[in-house]
Amino acid sequence: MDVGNVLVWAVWFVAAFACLGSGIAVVSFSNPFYSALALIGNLASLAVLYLLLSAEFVAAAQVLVYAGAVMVMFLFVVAYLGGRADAPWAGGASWQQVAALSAAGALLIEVFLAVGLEASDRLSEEPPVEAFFGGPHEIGRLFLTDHLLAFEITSIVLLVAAVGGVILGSHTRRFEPGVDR
Amino acid sequence: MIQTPSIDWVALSPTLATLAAAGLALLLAVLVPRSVRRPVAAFVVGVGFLVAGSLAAYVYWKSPEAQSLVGEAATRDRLGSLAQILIAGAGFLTVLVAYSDRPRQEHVGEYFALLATAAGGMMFFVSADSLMTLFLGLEWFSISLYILCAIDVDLETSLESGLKYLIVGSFGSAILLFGFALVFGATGELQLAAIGEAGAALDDDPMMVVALAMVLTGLGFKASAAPFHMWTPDVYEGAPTPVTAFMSAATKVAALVVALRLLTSAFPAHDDLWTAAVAALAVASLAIGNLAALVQRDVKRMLAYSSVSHAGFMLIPIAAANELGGKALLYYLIPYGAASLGAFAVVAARERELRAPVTLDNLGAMGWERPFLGFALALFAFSFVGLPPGGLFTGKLYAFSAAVDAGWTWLVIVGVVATAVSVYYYLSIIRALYLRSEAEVQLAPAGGAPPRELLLSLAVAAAIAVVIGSFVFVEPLIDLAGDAVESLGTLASE
Repeated sequence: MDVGNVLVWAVWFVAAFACLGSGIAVVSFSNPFYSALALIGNLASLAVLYLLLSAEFVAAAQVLVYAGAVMVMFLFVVAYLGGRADAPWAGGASWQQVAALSAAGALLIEVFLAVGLEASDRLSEEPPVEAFFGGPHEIGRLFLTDHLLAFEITSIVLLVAAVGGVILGSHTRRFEPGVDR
Repeated sequence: MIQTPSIDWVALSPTLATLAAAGLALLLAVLVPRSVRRPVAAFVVGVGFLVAGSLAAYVYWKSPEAQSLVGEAATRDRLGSLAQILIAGAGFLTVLVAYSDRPRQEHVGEYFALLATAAGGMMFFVSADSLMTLFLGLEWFSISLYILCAIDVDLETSLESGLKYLIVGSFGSAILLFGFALVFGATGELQLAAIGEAGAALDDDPMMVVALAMVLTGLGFKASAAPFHMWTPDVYEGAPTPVTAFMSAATKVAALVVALRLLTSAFPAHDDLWTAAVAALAVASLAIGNLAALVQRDVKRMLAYSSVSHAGFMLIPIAAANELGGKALLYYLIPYGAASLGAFAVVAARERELRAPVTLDNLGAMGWERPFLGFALALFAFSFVGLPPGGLFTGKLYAFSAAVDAGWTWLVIVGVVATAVSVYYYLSIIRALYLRSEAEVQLAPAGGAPPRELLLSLAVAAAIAVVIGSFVFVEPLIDLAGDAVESLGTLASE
């Protein structure tokens, strides 16, 4: 086994266990602020796994969009609401726990099936993935050619959402008793 | 050098016109003085809708053959253009209805701008030809509508309506997106016709079947077909009434036209499955919509259930999946959209007058107090039943005959029974309008003469004209619908 391979294995090992550990941390912290911080770690280690799969663009987007923008928003909301959230296992309807457990069980079975099929060479065929698949160059080309319209429409959707955020967030709370609409 | 796709600006022009109107309304709302904000915003968006409708009519006239736009992301055909004309018309009438609905100056520019973006999103949605643009179009108009529903944030009902619509609507969108992902996974294609070709070899592929079920569910949410209609009464009740009027007319057009396009172009090989599923949705909508409407006292809720039942009627021709069915659906949407918009407009007027939710009780004797609006509501209720002076009579006739041609005779029987049930609650509206003893009428304090609402009355008059006009001019309208179905090119004639 050469040095490069050892390095890949080492990075994979660290990233995978960081991913698992921070994932467990997200659901077990009782303070939502720590959960959000752990989620950043989870997303960052996931980005490392993407890098190992040579999906550089997805890794970068993962860090920028999720670990960056989305998580900052999460933290803002947590800070805004204060640490008033319930502890994770306190109360909670039992059917939710049952549903969560069965969903997690289904995912686990899926993972075992996929790994088992791959190990016994029974996965039907290799996916037709070219070398440059998922690279920034290829994604940029698609945005300007095949998915030009979709790319532009996304900006409109975001604009509408921003206008909506301003409307719903900026209203002055004036309760006028007895006056409806 | 990247070869960028050529862009057919003419075909995109109706959507762009509404977007331009929205942008202009937003900017002008900031620039003009507060006192003229409302007329300026309403005028800009109203003109935007008229321009968009005219451009859509031009595109309809100029494109008898379907053409692919911007790298197969959208299509230019008469089906899309006809739906765009209907949406622009609904949007224009909504501007008239909404004009005096916003006495406060808060967010008035944004209100009309969002109306324009919602309509623009629908116009894009009905012409989208790939799964990606379809989903983006759906989100575009849905987000606009979520905000419009919740725009009166100070009112608990409006906030509740917006939040419910957001949660349930996002759930529907997510299921639709999941379905799209499975379709892409099974076929490797995004463009509808290409999916249809690739899917022909996959006619018993479980992934395609699950995908089809999820797509139907997602579209069912948007079209408010039972059993995915749960949000409809609450959202219709709580949203500002002009928004409800717009949603009931335009969202139906968008969702059902897209259902027709998507099912017939992307799933032709699975038509035995989806016709049966659509027929089941139609039966559920007819049963639940009509039975639940029987016990409603709130007029907006009753009309909401009525819209569920009409979704059922309009799913019948889709289940028929033949050329006559396509024509029947497109024709049906014209008088239905007008009648629904008109009925909610009258409710909006009554609501403003009473400053309270309109129920069957406080609708009392409106027919005598405000003869024109009262008569209009009675006429709309009468035509909802499907009785001759309204175009819905012809629409139901066509829908039923399409179903008979396709061998769905039992579906027609369900439809006729549902119509018979619906007579009860539609007539209870007419009864409340005219036939109440004076002791029974609880007159609400109105405070002087009712406001004169010229623009709203104009919108109601236009709706009456369309409802009756579509009955008188059946032949040319059916021809228009027939050309639209022909340019879609996926429905076989007999």
